[in-house]
Amino acid sequence: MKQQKNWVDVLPELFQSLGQTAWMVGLSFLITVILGVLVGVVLRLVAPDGLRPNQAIHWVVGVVVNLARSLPFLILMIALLGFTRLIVGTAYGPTAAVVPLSVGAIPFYARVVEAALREVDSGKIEAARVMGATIWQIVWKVLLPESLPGLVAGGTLTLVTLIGYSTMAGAIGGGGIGDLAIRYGYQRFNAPVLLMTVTLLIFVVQIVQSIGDGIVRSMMRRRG
Amino acid sequence: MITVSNLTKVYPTARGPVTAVNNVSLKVADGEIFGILGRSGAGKTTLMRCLTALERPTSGSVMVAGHELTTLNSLTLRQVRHRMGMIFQHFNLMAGRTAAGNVSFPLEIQGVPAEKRHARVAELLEMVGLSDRWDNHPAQLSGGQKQRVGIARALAAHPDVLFCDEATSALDPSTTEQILDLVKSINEATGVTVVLITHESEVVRRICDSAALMADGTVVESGPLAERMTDPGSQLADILLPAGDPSLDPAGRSIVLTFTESGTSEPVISGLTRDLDLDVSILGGAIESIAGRQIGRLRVSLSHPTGMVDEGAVRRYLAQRGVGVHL
Repeated sequence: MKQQKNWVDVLPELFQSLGQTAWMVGLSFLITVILGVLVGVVLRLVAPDGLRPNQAIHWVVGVVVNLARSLPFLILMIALLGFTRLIVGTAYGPTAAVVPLSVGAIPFYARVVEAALREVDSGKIEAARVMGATIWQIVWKVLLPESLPGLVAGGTLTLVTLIGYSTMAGAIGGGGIGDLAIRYGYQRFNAPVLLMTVTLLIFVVQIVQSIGDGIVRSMMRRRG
Repeated sequence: MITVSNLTKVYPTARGPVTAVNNVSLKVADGEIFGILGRSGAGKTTLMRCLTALERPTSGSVMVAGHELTTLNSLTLRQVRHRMGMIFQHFNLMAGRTAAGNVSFPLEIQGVPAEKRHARVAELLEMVGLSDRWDNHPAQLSGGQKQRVGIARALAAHPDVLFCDEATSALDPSTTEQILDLVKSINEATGVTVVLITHESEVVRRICDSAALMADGTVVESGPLAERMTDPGSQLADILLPAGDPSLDPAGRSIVLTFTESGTSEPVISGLTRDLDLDVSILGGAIESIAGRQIGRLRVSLSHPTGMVDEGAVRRYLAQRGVGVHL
């Protein structure tokens, strides 16, 4: 039986994996927030009770969002291999993993955004309309700022989900913590390294969640 | 300032069309405070939504400051709205903005540069007595303070007309009085036309110059209060200044007398007794200052020893002394 690596010897690899995870999660989170807000705003505006009701757009965007959300992430990732190769040039590595991660998270966050925007009191929107605000002023100055606590809470949820998805991306060559756990824990039965990755993931998720909750709490304190 | 002609708004519902506003015509003069009084469901909210073009009427015309709202394109409509201010029952302030940020909001929308906004916000918060609340969020303010911020916000861009949608209905009586007095003093100081809708007669009694009474989607009665109050048969007068229930007189022969300043000095009641030999019992009445005039309404029952009351003589006697009478 081959001598197992000590967990200390794995540390450099661990830091590298952590860096890869941070890169793919960070970049896909950024893309998700930008496009998720965009899609969420569109969904809200074209809803039957929105500012620009449009049944056709609402239906099409809704179907696409639901389609992407109904696929398990692992399958979505495999299904997107060709698309990823087209965009990034390769289907392997942390940067390639950003594509399926974003595609998986955007519809999720878009629904979060849509729901948060729906919570904005219609009276505030009417107040802005009577002041002569344009639709984009209403989006930028009323809808998004007023639903910010919900957007941040939903963003935290999305970020945690992305961290989870990123480990699955590791399973098919995305690199990162998930890849490390599979190589040492699953393929070599190295329990200490597996335990270390698990602890690290728990720790990271806790930190992300606490920061998110903290931001929401401080916003809610002022907003009442 | 505002002319509404033959305005009708019909909503399609699951149980067939509902006419919320039915053939309403109104005129609001420049600089006056115009109250639209009615119970909930009378159509006043729909009417106000048509006045601010939040709702497009089914038919009829709405002219505000020389613009026909029903045919405006969205660009011109926004420009016309830049000259409107509005306050709401539930304030509708932005929770994520401070008091100053809320007041600044309409100025930002109109692209006023930051330093000008700052000066104007300071001026407005001073005017509504909230200079020390600059950095407070709405959640940290009382209802009355929130409505003061609402008023400051509505006036920020120097509107021609201020719409008040049940603006005091969520406030306690003493706060209501303060807010109404503030609106009145702003109206006097700036000359802004005020249109308010309310279900509280106190609001109309306290600050309005003119009013319309709405019921079942129609305007039952409207006009300057000074004129309406002295019409003894006016329903609006009966709501604002109730003279007592006619059923108080078992014979059902009570009459309503209306007094203005000119009439109140003369001893009319004792005059009726002395000169016309009538017995006068007072059934109810009220005297209030409305639209800047002292106005009294009195329900009395008349009887004569012979059993016959000469109504013509009573009418002539009272008319000579400037007292209105409704038999």
